[in-house]
Amino acid sequence: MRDAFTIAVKDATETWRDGRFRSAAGLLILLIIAAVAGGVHNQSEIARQHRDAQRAERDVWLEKGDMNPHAAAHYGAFVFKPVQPLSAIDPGLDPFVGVFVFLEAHKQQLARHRPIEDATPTRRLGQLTPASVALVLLPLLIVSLTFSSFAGEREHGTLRPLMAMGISRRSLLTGKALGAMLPLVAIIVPAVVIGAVFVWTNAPADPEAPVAARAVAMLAVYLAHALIWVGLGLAVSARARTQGTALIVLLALWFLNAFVAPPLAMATAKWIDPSPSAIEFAASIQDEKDSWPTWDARVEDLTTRFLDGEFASTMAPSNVEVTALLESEADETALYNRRFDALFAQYARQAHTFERIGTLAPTLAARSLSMAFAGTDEAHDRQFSAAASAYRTQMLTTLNGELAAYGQFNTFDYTRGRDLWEKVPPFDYEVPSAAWALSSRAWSAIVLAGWLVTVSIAAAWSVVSMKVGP
Amino acid sequence: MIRLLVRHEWHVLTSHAVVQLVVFVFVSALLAATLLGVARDVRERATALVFSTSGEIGRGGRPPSLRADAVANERGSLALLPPAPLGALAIGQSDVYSNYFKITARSLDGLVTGDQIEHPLQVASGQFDVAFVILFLYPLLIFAVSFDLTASERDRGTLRMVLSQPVRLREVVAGRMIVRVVLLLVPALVVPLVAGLIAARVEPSYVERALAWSLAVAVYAAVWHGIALIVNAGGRSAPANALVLAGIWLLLVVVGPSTVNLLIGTWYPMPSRVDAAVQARSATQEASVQGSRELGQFLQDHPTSGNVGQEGMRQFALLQAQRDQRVADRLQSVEAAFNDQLARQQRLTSRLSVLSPTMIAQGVLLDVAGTSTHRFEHFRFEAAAFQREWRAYFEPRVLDAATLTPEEYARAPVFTYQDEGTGAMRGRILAPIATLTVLALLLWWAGFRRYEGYQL
Amino acid sequence: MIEAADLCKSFGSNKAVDHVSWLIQPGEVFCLLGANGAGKTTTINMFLNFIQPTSGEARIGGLNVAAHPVETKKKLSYIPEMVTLYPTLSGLENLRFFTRLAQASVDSDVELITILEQVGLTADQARRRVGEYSKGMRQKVGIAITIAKGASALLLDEPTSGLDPKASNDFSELLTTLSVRGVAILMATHDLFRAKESGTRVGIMKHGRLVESIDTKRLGHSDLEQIYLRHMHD
Repeated sequence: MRDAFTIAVKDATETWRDGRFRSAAGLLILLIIAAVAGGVHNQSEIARQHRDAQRAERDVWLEKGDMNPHAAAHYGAFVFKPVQPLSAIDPGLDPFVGVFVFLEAHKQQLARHRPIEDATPTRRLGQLTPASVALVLLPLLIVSLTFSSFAGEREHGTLRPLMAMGISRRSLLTGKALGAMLPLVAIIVPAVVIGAVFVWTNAPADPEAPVAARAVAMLAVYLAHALIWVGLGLAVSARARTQGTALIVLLALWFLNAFVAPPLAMATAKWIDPSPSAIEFAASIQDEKDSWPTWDARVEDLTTRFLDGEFASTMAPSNVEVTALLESEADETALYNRRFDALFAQYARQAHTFERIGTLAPTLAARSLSMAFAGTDEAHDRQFSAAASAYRTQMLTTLNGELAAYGQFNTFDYTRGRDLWEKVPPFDYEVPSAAWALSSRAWSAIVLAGWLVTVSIAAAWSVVSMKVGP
Repeated sequence: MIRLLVRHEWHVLTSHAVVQLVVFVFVSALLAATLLGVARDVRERATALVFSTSGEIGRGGRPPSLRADAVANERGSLALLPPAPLGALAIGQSDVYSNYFKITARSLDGLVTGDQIEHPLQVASGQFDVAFVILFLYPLLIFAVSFDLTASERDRGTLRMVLSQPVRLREVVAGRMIVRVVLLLVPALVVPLVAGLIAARVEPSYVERALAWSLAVAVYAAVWHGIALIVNAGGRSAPANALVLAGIWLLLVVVGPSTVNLLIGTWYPMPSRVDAAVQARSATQEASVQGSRELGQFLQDHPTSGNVGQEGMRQFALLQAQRDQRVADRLQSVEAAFNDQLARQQRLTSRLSVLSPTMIAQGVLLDVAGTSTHRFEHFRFEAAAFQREWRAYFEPRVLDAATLTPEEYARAPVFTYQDEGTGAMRGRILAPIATLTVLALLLWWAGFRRYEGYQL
Repeated sequence: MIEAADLCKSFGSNKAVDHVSWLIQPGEVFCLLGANGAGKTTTINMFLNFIQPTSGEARIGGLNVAAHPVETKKKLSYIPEMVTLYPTLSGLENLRFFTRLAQASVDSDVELITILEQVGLTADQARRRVGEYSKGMRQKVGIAITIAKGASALLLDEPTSGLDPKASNDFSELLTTLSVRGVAILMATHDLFRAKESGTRVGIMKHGRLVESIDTKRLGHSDLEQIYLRHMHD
């Protein structure tokens, strides 16, 4: 064990004395500061906008005056997506999903306005975030620290004398691993402190929000990911013939993980399970609507059924149209629900395939987990959509229920006021727990753990079987 | 002399396993990206064919009601953007913006955006298209074959052997640069264009766009080759060159653009849609509520539509139109202010994009392919113009609560998309391409200058 | 043929070559002796235009090397201490490349193989990859380039270091053949024995200056060693 420590200290000292490492580390820390500061600033600004908007919307709802409950249902309500505090660390899909939903009678709608629509095309080249620094840039630094651990010493001829001194291969591996991790600590610790301070000062006042658990989980993911790359670097360095080969192999793996895996994984997911284009989706809804009876036909049919005595006790003659309205709305709601449920189910399947392909790329698995814990992945977006949908149902039931209950005495001229509007509670979204996030991405967690184990074994085996001379 | 040097260098370079691997990886990536792109493009064209002939979103079904209101507003019309000319090469913004609008005569809903339902994970992950391979991978591969222009030969002494012959160093370097440029540029240009030709129908603008695309790719490559030349002329060892070039790639392609985007997002954020939505809500609240009340009053006076009669229907239509107009007027000022601010921010951010050749090239490639924001903006402009035409045709009949005759129905306006023409594209890409060309020339000139002081 | 006219080269305050002058006629073999760092390689580099003289001129066939780099290189040939060729190409392919670079008139494979045989490489060896060659074989390719090029001046830097006695001997014979043909030869070397054997004149360089220039005919073997060591001692 002492041998390992000696090796580690020597390696770490060499690294630290290398001016190139110091500049790279310094640059990385600067980037982290910029990313965290920018992320927190943007996130808190957007969170404020959404909170203010939700409050303003509630006022609008309560103060819209007297009107027919059905008209109120058409007047509708906006709900704004609450912004998670940890989205400052990993914005995930937030720029790519809608930020508010308009809830109204007749049709379900997708969340509106994705921030990416307003950005210029260069935005598609990526944005610096703490997550991208941790998952994309940090592995590159790790590669530079580990590619020459064994291959370099072998090429310089210093490996053979080292082994000749009686150092066990296990100590050597441990020493090299520690020697690579020590300089990393000098970067990771400040980064975590900076991140923690920024996020803490911006955490929501709500003590129930599971920020701490999620934050710790995210940190664990990033650390596991870093460890995987340390192991990968050591394993490749032990097996490679030359330093150059080790570097090229590791760089290729990095490039594949960071840039090729995500788009290819998604392309595969869509290939397997192609989703409809926007216009095909709209057309499928329209086609079904076209096949329904017309309004006049509906009223006529209902009138006939009423005259046949079907609604004897519940409906007044003038209520036929209200009932027709409610029925057609129910049909339309059901249609939209069916179509959107199918679409979301397909999204979920595509995300599932994406996750499965992530088995081959640890960075992909880490990314999925990072987004999940930040609350900015596709599963959380669906949670919000479901919550908005449930709220809409609650709103419509409250309003239409009033109409149906009292409607037998009045039709469209029946108005209510604030007392009814207040019966609809304000929109309150409960963020799922960290455990829920983990369960939604259980596969990625298993993959990451699996990679950690595999890479450790691979590194150990590589060192045990490696050649000592050039 | 150059021919001899080129032939010799070609022979030597292509015998290296690393170089063979690089070419293999490049060609594979280009093929994969092109195939994915062509498959997607073929599918899009097939869809477009189905819908452009019908002129509406529904694909047939029951015969339409000829009530003016139903035709003008419920049925509406379809404005469809034809697939981008080189969409197989670059997806660009087509996974963010919708390619169709439903057109209605109501001033409130006039132009209803079809939701672009692309999976957000897809939009976030980026696309593996040819543009991606060119913008991200190509520079890295250029560096992978160019980090040892003369360094190892200098260290081993072969360069002295060569330079003891009646040949100048700059001729040797030029020959080696030519080989490297050709080695990678030929696949970069040939693979996508040939594959695209096979799949796509050749349109009039296709040739000009294909040439513009090739020019942009060539100039982009020239910049990276120039950077490699300057670094090699510094006289470092081959591994040192490799490290420097890798760092430059990282800075200019990965860290640079993403940091610029962060700075833009933080210091020049786009105006808030959320705030705008709230403003629009309060601006239109009064008009909307009042309108609903009037409509409610009308319906109170006319319990069932069957009793209303033609005059009553006209009144209803008029009330509805009036309400819509009032709300639309209030909305307009909010929207105008928002769009102004948005345009200003976007212009600012475009100016900042000169900081990286990748950002400059991205803009050009997308514009040439026809999937940049410009084309979608032009489409929106065209659709809005059509919407005014549609509304003008139907409004009198809607207010009249009339039913259309078959002839009136047949003569309704139909949307035909007029592309803005390649002149506009040419105007936009001239400056960025010129910038990249000047940059490349400067780099090459500086590189050869530096080589004059090369230590043997 | 190979003329140094008051040649000087300074790196900062360090005078690497200090007012060196000589004239090597066709057929002469001028051996330049001196310790490491005496300035031998720097001098040769100036004749190859690898560095520019601070003052004075290096001339090949009367032409100033710095002013006419390409023309002078047509007339001279250079064999460094380590003859490094392109390892993945054969000896013949390497010869062909360098010959063509030299714009020599000799071009056909037959002619080139003949020359290779002249210097002691069989046709079979010539077609093998240079990566497999020994140092002596690579040096022979270097000499073949000289012959194929028809150079009238030859510059050699430590040619016999690392060669076994047989190869060294072969080399001496080739050198003699070339000088008989009228090639002016400048050879920087540590090898006192070869210098006496092959050289017509010997020059001793010390701290950048040419301190001695003697006809070898007037020397015995032990004389040369004594003179050399005396200078080194000072």
